[in-house]
Amino acid sequence: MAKRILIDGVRKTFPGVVALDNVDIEVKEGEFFTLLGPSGCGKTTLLRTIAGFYQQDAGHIHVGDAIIDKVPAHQRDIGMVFQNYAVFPHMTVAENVAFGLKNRKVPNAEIGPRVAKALATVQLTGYEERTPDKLSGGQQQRVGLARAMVIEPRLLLLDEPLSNLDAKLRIQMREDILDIQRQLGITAVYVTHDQEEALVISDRIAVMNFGKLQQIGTPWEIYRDPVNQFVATFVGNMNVLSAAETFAAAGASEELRRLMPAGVPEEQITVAYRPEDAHIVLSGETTPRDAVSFAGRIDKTLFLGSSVVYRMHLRGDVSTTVNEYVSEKAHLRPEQSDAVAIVPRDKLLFFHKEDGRRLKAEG
Amino acid sequence: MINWLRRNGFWGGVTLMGYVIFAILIFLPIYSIIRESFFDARSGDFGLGNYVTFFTTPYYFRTLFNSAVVSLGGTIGAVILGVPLAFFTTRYRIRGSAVLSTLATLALLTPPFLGAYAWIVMLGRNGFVRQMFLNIGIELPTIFGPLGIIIVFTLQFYPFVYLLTAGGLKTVDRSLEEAAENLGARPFRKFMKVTMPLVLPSITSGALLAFMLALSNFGTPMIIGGGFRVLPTMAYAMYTSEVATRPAMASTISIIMVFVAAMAIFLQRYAANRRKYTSMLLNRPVVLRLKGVKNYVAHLVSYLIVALSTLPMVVVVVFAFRNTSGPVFIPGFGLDSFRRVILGVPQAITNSLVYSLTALVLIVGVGTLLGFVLSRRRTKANLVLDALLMSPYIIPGTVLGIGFIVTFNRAPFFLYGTAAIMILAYFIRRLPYSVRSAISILQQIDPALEEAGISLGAPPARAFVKVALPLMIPGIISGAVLSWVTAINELSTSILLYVGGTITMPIRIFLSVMDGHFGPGSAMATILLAATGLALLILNVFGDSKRNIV
Ligand SMILES: Nc1ncnc2c1ncn2[C@@H]1O[C@H](COP(=O)(O)OP(=O)(O)O)[C@@H](O)[C@H]1O
Ligand SMILES: [Mg+2]
Repeated sequence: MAKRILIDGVRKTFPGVVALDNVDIEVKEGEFFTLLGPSGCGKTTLLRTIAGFYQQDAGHIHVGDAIIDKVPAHQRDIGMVFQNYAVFPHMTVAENVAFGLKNRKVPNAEIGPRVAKALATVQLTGYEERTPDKLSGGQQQRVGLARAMVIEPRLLLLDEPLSNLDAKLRIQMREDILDIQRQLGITAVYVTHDQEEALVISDRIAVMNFGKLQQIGTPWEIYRDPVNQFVATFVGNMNVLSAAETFAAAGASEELRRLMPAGVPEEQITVAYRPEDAHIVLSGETTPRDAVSFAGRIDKTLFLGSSVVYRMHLRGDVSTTVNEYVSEKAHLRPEQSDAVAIVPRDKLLFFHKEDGRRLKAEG
Repeated sequence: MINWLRRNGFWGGVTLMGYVIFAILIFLPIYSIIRESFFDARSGDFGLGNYVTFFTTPYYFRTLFNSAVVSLGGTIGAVILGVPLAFFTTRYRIRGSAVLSTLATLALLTPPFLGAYAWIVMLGRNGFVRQMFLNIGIELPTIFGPLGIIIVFTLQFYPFVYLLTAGGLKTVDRSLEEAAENLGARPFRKFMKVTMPLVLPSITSGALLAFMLALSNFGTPMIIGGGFRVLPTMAYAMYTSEVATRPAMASTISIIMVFVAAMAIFLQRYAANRRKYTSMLLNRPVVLRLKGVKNYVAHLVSYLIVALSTLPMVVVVVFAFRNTSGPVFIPGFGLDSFRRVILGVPQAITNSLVYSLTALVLIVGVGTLLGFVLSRRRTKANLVLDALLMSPYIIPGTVLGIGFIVTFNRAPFFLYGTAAIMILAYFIRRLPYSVRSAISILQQIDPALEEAGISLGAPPARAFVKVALPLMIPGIISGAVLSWVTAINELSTSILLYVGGTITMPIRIFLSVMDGHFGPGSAMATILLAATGLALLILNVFGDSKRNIV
């Protein structure tokens, strides 16, 4: 029963805030779609508008072929999973899961097996008669999930369902959620401010900021091909340097000048690259010819186990970070050594300093 | 109208009901009083004459001063008893502190006029304590007069200060006090510079609550005031003397009372908002075990305070069982007085039960619905209604009584002397508390729960009944019990509204006391106390134990 969702020019304002600014999104049938953005960017507002808890000021929401703008929340047939679980504290686990079925007047004989199946899906078989206060946070969220999907909704909405769980459980649960969604083939819209979670779990991601859509794309596109500086820095780590400074003091190689976008003055350009795309050589060692290099000094060598982070300062107090996988102790670069950060040409990104839009590299 | 209802549905109808209740039961009576206060009693001339008379005639304006003196005196007394008791019982191990707290709560729930009455039994002209001292040649002063009123107010209202301050002290994070110690503060300085400022908002809240209650209290100054008149008793006296004319001075004094009460509330709000600390209670405060003399002193002070406030109740009960002959007590104990009240004035008891229980149903039903609308649907209409519905807070019972008579003793209502007017008075006096309590209960219930219900296909009304309501029930029971206690003990409004057939227990007690019939009065008061005690028991067993009663 999965359905396609079309959000068509939806706008929502609260006194003094534009929470959603003409948002257009199409979520495909059976897709796992994520809304990603910093706190306050309007993710929850969009989700609640889809659920029918807010009425948009303009625009339409289509589910399948129907426009649901005027349908009251309880008739929308949209499952929802809440950040703070919202498991009914005065009902047992089984009663929680059965609640939606009873609202739908599902025959009693059918309720039992469906509840059992839903609980099995979220691995809570045997917990039927427990009350929520005897469950851990992770288990409560599984009840929330079972309760939302047992009604076989057209669409499942999840608002930061993992943010109240501890880090380990979060990683396990996100894969469980993904498995369940795949298994049921349900269309899901997922909200998170955690970019790693978004990358792992989504078929596609919409990045939002200040109520505006920034970019819609697959996790790979969002990470590797961001359309603007906001997306580039919000998702993953990114070194951001001012082009002018880079040339004046940061010891950038001539190769960089050849790549600089044309038609925009140098002072208006920002140069960016991801720490893991660079690697470090000590000064004096040979550098590959067609890569861009930034010369400076290593301030700190931070050993993370699986990788090593170097904090460097380039000439003229510009700092940059390099993240490298190091498996041989001999390859560790010591602190306070003069060094060069090497970045392959195709890993350099350029942005407009004022509006943050992506600029195309030359050559 | 029909269209409006259709558009706004059930909850829109609830809002509308709230406005209708406000208009008829609050606005109309107050408007009538304001109107009357501008007409001369005899000539019917319109103008500010009554107010000029009030402020230029010592006979009248002294009552304003008198009210200020006894209310402030009672408040200061309440703070002097309440704060140390709170400090001792929360910070030191006091044996039986749970019993102390229950007794203090019981004292708080009993109506002040019962306390006043018990003090007459002890320290009236023929009071037994006074007689005892006379026998050994010491003449104690009587309880009558301003000092007596202050003593009764103090013992009646200190539990508010005690409970609120104790609540505040329990939420001062231990690490704050430890930090002060760590920075070299001695215990006394630590208390004055860290602990005290943090609980000051609780103390002021308690003190202002005590002040408001003292200011509008009618029974105590009526019973033991002697010739000493305060605003409520003066308004009452004026009303009874103006029955033949327009209630000009009664209305004027009423408006002045409301004005003073409004200022007090305003002050409280200001004080409460200006200093509000939110505390993340990570470390509970330590409870110390005192040693030696200090331990004795802490116990003695705590027991003494609670004993003093429990004494009136004990006296009332003991005297209910003493034998009487007419108005005088004779040796021996028995059930004579009970027989006399139960056989002689059964109506007072049945009326009290019927009125208070009917009012209770209304209070809980309407209060819960309104509380729900006001907290979950923050429309402009509801925000305004929220503020309007709080106005009975500042309307003393006497004023409401006068307003009710002026308004409902004429077409189209003609309610004077009916049971309905008594029930409506109980209802509207308690409604704001019930609405507030429903709102605070709802604030502890995550709105996401109802939304979860709705997203699972329950229409809003069903989501409320199936999800919110069951979670509200313990809180509602607590609120209901407290409402019932205040309703069954209500005196200041009903004394103005009753006729022979609608007499209630508090009125009966009041009349017995005024007539000097202490035996039946004590018996009736004991029945009332038993009802109050029973309510407290229900509260402890079924109510929300975490919910404070003040
Ligand atoms: N009910 C509301 N009333 C007023 N403003 C709101 C309300 N809900 C959200 N907002 C505002 O709308 C903006 C977006 O909020 P929200 O959708 O909750 O963000 P997110 O979920 O991305 O953190 C914020 O500026 C927030 O303050
Ligand atoms: Mg949110």
